[in-house]
Amino acid sequence: MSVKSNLESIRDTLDELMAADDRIMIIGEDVEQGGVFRATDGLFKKYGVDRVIDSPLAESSIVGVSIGASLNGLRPIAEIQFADFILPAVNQIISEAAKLRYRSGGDWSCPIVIRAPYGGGIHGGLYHSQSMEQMFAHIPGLKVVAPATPYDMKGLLRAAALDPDPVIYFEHKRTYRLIRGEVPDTPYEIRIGEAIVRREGDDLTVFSYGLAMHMCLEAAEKVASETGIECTVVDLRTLLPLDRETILETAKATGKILIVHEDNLTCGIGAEVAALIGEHAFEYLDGPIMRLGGPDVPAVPFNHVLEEFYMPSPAKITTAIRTLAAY
Amino acid sequence: MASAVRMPQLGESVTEGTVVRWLKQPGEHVAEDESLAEIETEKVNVEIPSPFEGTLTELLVPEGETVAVGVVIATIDTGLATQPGSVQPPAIAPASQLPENAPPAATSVSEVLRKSPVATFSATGPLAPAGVAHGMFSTGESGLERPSPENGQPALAPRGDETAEQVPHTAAKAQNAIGVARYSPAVLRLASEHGIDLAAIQGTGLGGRISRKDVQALVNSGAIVRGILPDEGSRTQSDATALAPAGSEVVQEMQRSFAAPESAASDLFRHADGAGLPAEARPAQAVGDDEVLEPLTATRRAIAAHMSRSVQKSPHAWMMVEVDLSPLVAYRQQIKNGFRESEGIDLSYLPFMIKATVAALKLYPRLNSSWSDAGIVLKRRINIGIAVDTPAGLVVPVIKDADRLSISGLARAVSDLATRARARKLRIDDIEGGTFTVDNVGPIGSIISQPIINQPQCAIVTMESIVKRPVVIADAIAIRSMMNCCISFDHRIVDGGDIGPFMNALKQNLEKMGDGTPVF
Amino acid sequence: MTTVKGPGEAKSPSQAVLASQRRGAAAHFGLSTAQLTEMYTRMVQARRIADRMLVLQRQGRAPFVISGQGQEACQVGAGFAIKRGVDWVFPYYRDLGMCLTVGMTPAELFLNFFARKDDPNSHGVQMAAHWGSKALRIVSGSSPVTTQLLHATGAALAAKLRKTKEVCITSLGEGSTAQGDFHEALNFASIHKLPVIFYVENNGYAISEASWKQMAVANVADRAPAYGMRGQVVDGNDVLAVYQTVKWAVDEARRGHGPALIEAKTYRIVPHSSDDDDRRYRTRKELEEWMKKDPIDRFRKYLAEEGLLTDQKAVEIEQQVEAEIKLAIAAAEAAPDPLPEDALLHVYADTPSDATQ
Repeated sequence: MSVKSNLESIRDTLDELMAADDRIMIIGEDVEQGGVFRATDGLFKKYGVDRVIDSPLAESSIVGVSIGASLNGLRPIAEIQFADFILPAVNQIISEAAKLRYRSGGDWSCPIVIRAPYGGGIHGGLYHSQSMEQMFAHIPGLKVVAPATPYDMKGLLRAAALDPDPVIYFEHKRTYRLIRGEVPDTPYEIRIGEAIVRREGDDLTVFSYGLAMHMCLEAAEKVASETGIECTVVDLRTLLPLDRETILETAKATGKILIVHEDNLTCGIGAEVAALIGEHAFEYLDGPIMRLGGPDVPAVPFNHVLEEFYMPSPAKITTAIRTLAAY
Repeated sequence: MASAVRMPQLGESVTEGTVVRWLKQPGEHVAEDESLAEIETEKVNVEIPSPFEGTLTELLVPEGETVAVGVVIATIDTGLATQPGSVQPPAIAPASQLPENAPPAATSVSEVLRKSPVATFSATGPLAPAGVAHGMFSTGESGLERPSPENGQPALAPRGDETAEQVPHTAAKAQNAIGVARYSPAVLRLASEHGIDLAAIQGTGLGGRISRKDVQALVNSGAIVRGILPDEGSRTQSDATALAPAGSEVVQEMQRSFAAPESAASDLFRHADGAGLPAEARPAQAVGDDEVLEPLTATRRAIAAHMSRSVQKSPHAWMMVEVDLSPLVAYRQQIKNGFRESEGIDLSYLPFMIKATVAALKLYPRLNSSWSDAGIVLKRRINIGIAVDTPAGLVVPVIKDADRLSISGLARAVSDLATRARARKLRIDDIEGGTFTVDNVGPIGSIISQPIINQPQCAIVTMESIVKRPVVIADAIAIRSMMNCCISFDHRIVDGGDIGPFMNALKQNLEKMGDGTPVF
Repeated sequence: MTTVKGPGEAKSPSQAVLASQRRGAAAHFGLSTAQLTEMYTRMVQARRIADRMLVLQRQGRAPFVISGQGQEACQVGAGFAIKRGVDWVFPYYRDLGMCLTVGMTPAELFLNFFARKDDPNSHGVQMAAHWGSKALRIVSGSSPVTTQLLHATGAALAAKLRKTKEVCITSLGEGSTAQGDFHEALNFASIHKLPVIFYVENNGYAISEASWKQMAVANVADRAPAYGMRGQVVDGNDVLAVYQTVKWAVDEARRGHGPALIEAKTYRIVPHSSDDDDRRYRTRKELEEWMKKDPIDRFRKYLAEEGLLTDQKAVEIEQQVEAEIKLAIAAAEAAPDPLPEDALLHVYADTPSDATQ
């Protein structure tokens, strides 16, 4: 057991995976030098040019080549430098990776992982801060995970790398060094599609993931100590497929639902969670399902005042919790 | 300007009503408060007075048809260019602008209903306290969701056709509109599962809204077992005024304390044990070749549910005293004709019985009470429920402040309530607020009966048939007019040691009645 | 004509291509008479099957046809140039002839055409002519064009890293060369010297757009040197020239000399698809001129002149092909449709689709 940051957990897990399975290779921009976030630091030196491949600055090729390599026996882990830049690869992801198995009646499959650092709070401006998960969470054939803790980073990265289907692995870059936690040194997997209850409370249920999930935990502690309002906080972890069972179970337990994400509000993950609950737990609802999401502006603006306005915060979440609890 | 007349909510848990008979026809002039129609619900049958003066233009619900509370049943042309009732949503007055005689803000809609002389207005319209609709998440915090008027307001906004005129105490109603008119699915489900009277709960949520946790707290308190009504003690508030909401009393007054052939019913008990569920939702009952299935009426179901719950909830204990009524029988024989001539009504034994009961309750106020986990709730007022047979079944109207009435006053109250009950002209007010029940089972030929307590009261006393029997008086046998009085009491509240003195006081009060007993 | 050579490479095929036009070309580039006959048979099959599909579509027995009549030499010649079942094929939708050559049967082609459950290409999920066969190493393709070039590049990367000596060939129309994935694939493949052949069947039209609307250069293959790979234009209606040229590129790739961009000049003698009316954008005269250069007639004449195919044998081949088509259609039309709930299968390997919940 070691205490690691999210970033260290990712890096060590990549190392562990590559050491154990020579089908696993890394492809992406600047990955030989460790990548802009140092997530692949040291791996080129250890595994060489055949396993850690610097790609041209062309995202469609990063994904398209990964798909092709996966068809011919490799297990590529592609790195998109910033999730914002995944858009040129969307045709490869949605038209190809997501549909290969379906369109061939299961004859072909596409076991790739696409790692994508996402999210704001790092002064990254419009094009280094976006949350892109909702776009892919809408696409059957893909799996989408968004781990928040070092433990989950490892367990879900391992599960993603060994998954027979394409997995998009969203890493919130603000959490890379911010979040630290204990990580077992031995290999383990977290099943894709399983949410986890991070905190239990009787008053309301908060659903979140990524950086916002940590803010929710902070807010939950604050309201508990200040007002006695006790929240259940559920870390969704996997966004596709959603863990319906846990979502409905925890929603039914309190009947008051708050969904928090950094992503724009409209058609975000919260919309789907809300719909699930509205459809399958209606009789347990004790108030309006509430969502706290980013404002519907095109992206996270750069100036620190504007960025703070956009981003979720424990204070905003606290207010939302109190409002809903009082309902 | 046509204004809408809606199916009123005749009691909190009532969701629908049947138009039994229209008393006015289109084209007729209707005065404000003039009776428009006879409405029947599971709880009560009443005439609804017109909320407006004008010309009845249209009857929208045929006689015999049942519609949901709030449904427009008729329209009246008020002749005004602008009738607030049909055009403008009411402006909700800030508390500071309330008239001085407005009820306190915490008053529930049910109380407004009870205090109002006639139950003429609907309690269905969800009204928003100022600030609620837009308050959600509009915290001034950056980045929070701000519901637009389109998605934020209408859900809590007043109905466009609901008016301050229709709702006498709009602000007071608005304070509770969320809680009363809109139970969340979770609250409804829990209440249904545990047979809880939501009207009996004071909500802690926004604007007094009842939350899931309010109901859960009640359940967790242990006072609620599945299928049993909550009593006041299990409510979440200790405030005595909050412990006496109208809805439950309405219902409780309506419950006959013995297995009457028909009784005024309440939908309060809907869904308990399947009772009250729509027919299609209930499991089919297999019927043998030599059996006939008589479908349950709502009334039958309500009685069944109530009786079951009362027996489960209150540990019933029972005792009986023999009363020598000979002097009273003789006295009544002597004055009854004169009484009829001067008062125009019959003088039965019931007013005497009530008088004796009230006097005994004054001596032993512990029996004029209700159970709660927090303690025994003693009632200052003595409101006596009496059973009245009507063609539609038995109802239990209440004589308010019976301790302030003379025999004659009681006789008049009995006569008035009985007459109006048979004519289906009882008002909500007439059936609410009982604290003790007197059950005259003599007419059905009973000499000993074991009544079931009318929840949440402490006890119920019967007057059995008056029969001439040989009794031993001073070692001699004499023929006397004897009557048994039986009492069922909640053994949680009182013991035999309390009941004995009470019943003996009742016995003595009755036996002392006779020549010279003041009637007026 | 541009050819970029690396050290130790085989000679450019340009001389050989010219040679193929002459009688008595030495051993026909190593192909036996049986192979040449098979080559011819595949071309006839491809033409007759596609023609028949159009008829069936016009009869209302199937909803849609997209085909490549006129491109049989391109497809069959290239298909013969790879190691079938070993090398990887990433075809585009007109490549019926290439699939046939690699090993797909007429019965399977008609199962695909009728979108039957047992279609090995997509089991009824995709529109017709979206090829794929795990057994034949024909990788399932989609409708957005040019995406397959990157898959071929990736598979070639895997072949290189795993040292399997497999070569990937991916075909495309000249219209697809305008796509970004064309550039990204050629660039990547050349950087890593991958064993992949980018094979452009330039049939003159991208639906209605003539090739001059797709590019300002005369030949797609002229771009090869800019990517640092060898490039070659070949007469796409000369099956032996195609075979020779693609074989050269495949062999070079297998030797580790990197990718190639081959452009076969040909002509689509049918409309883009059954939904297209080509009279709106090209003259009948232009079409008639190309009909005179029909690759099948041309190859038959060549084989006859070489004494490798008698008239009687040619007639037998026609009869054999027609009989086989008839049987294939009957079998395919009688084959079962998928079950409605089959629509929910194969979303993931291990979990049912959300749609089933």
